[in-house]
Amino acid sequence: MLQQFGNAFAFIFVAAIIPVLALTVGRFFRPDYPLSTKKIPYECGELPVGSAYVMFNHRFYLVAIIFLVFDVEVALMFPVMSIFSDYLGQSFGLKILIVSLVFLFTLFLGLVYAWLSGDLEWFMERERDSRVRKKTVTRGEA
Amino acid sequence: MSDTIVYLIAGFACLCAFLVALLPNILHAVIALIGCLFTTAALYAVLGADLLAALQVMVYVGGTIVVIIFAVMMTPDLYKNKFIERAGKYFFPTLVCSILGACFWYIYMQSASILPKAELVRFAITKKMGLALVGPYALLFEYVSVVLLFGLLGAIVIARTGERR
Amino acid sequence: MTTVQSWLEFMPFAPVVGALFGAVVILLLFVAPVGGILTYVERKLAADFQERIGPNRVGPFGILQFLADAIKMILKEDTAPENADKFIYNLAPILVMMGSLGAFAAVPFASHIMGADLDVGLFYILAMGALVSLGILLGAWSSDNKWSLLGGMRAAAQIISYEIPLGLALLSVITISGSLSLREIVLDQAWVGQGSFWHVFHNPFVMVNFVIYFISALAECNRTPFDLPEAESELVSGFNTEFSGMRFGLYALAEFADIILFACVAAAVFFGGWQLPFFHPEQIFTDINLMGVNFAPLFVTLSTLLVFLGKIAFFIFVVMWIRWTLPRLRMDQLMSMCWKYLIPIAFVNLIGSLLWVWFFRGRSIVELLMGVA
Repeated sequence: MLQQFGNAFAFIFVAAIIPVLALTVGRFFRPDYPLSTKKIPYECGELPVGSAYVMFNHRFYLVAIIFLVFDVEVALMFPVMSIFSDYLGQSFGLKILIVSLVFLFTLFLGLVYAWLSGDLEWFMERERDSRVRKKTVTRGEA
Repeated sequence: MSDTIVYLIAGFACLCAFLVALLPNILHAVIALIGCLFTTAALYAVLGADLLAALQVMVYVGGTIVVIIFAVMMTPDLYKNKFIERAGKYFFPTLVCSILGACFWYIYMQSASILPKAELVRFAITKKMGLALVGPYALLFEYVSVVLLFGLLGAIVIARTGERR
Repeated sequence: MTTVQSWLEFMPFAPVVGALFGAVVILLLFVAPVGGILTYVERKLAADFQERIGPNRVGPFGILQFLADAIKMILKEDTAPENADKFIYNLAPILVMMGSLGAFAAVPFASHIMGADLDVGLFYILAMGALVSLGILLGAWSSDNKWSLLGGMRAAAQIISYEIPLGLALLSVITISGSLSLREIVLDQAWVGQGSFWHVFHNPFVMVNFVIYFISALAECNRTPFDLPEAESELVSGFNTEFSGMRFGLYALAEFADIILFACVAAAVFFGGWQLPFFHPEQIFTDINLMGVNFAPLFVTLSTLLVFLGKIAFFIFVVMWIRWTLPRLRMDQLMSMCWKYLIPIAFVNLIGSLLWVWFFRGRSIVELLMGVA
C-alpha cells in the first residue's frame, strides 16, 4: 500500500515539474522585451479603472460554505457505502441502510431549508429588502 | 516504518505552520496553510491511513481552503492596510512561537514514554472505518450529520445577516 | 546506520525509479500528447459540426497542428502584469497540473497497467479534482485583473458546486461494488456468464446517476455548456486573461487532461473499464510463441488497453459534440441547475440505488432477468 502511495506521489511530482520544465525550456527560446505598456492588466484596450481587488457578490462565500458541508457528507458516506454490499441479507445491513438514509436525509433537510429560504438564489430578490436594493447588483454580474 | 521520512514530513509541516504565522501577505500565508494540510495528508498516507489522507485533501484543501480564500477575497480594502514596516517585525511572533514550541516540547518529552507509538497500518482501513462508523459509533455518526446541519444553518444565517447590512 | 537502513527499507531505489518511470510514461507519453491531439481533434470536430474544413495545412490533414500550437506557445513572450503576485502567479499552473495530471495515478488502463492501485482510488481522484479549483482561483487572484478575478471566482464556485453531484453519483456505484479501488470496480463488472454487467445497466438509478455524473464532469472541466469562467465572448478570456504563451498552454493542457480523466473514470466506473461482454482475451490469445517467448500476455494487455481507449475516445467525442451543440448557461442558471436539480436528483437516485441493492441483494436488472439467485 505504501508502494502505491509512492507511485501516486511520483505522479504528483512529475505533474508538478512539468510546468516548471516547460517554462524553463521556454525561457531560452522566448523573446523578452518588457515594456511598461505590456505590463498593464488587460481591460479590452483601455487603462484599468479602479483597483483589481473589488468586493464581490457574497453568494460565492455562501456557496462555498454549503459546499463544505455537503463535501464532508459525501466524504463520510464513502466508507459506509463501501461496506454496504458486504452485509446485504443480514440485520447489520439493515442497520447500515437506516444509518445511511438518516444521514442523507438530515443533510437533505438542510438543502431544502437553504432552497426554501432563498439562499440558493444567485441574485438577491428585489422585494426582500428595499434598503438592499440600492446596493443590489444588476442582473448579469458575478 | 521509517522514522526519517516521518520526521522529514512532520518537519515540513511545522515549517509551513510557522510560515502561516509569519508571512505578511495573507494569501502567501494561505498557501503555506495548503502546504501544511498537504503534508498532514502525506503523513496520514505514510502511516497507512489512505482514506484519511484522501479525505484530508478533499475536505480540507478542497473545501476549507476555498472557503478561506473566498473570505479573504471578500474582505474590502485588504491591501490598503499596510503592515507596520519596521525592523523588528518578526521578533515578537518568533518569540511567542519559540516559547510555545519549547513548552510543547517539554510536555511531549515528559509524556513520550506513555504515548502510544504511531503504528504503520498494513491493512485497508476503508472497510474498517465503515464498520466503525455504522457499528459502535453509529449514533455518533448521526450526531455528526446533525452537527453538519447546524453548521450549515448557522453559516447561512450569519451570511444572511451580513447581506442585510 | 539504522536510519539509512530504514530509508532503504521504506523506499529502496528500484521502486522509486520504477514509479517515476511509470509516471513519466503515462503522463508525458500518453496524457500530454493525447491532450495536444485533442486540441486538434476539437478543432476538426468543430469544423465538422459547423460544416467547414478546419486545420488542414500543417501535416497530412492538419494532424501536426497541435505541434505547431505547442511550439508557438513556447515561443511566446511571457508577460505578467506588474502588480501580479509573482509567487502565486507561478504556483497556480503547478497546482492545476498537480490536480489534473496527478489524478491519473489511480486510473486503470488495463488489468495490470495502473499508476497506483490505491485502495481509495476513486476518492483520490475526487481529491485531486478539488486542487484544480484551488489553482484556478489563486491564478485568477494573482493576475491583478478584475475580469480574471471574476472568472476565477465563478470557476471556483462552479467546480466546487459540481463536485457534490459528482461524488453522489459515484457513491451510488460504490453501493454496488463495495470497494473504492478503481481496479476492483472494473473487475466487478466482468462478464462471467452470471449476468454481472456494466454498472450503468445495473439498475435504473445508476443509469440516471451516470447522466448526472457526465453533466457534473462537464462542469468540472469548465466545458460548454458550463464554460462561463473561460468564456470567449465575455470576460475576455476569464481566468486565463493574464496568462500568455506556455502558461496558457498549461491551463489548456490541464483542461483537456481533466476531460480525459473524467472520460477514463466514466469508462472504468460505469462502463466496464477494459472489458467487453463476450470478449475474453485471455482465452483467445492463449499461446503465441515467437522466438521462444510467449507474447500472449502482451496481446491480452494490448487488446484490453485498446478497448479502454476506445471507450475514452467515445466519451471525449460526446463531450466535444456537446460543446459545439449547446449554448452556454448563465451563472445563476448554472448554480441553480447544480443545487436545485442535480443534487436532489442525485440524492434520490443514491437512495434508490441503496434500496435496490438492499431489496434485490445486489442483483442487477440483467441478473434478475436471467433469474440468478
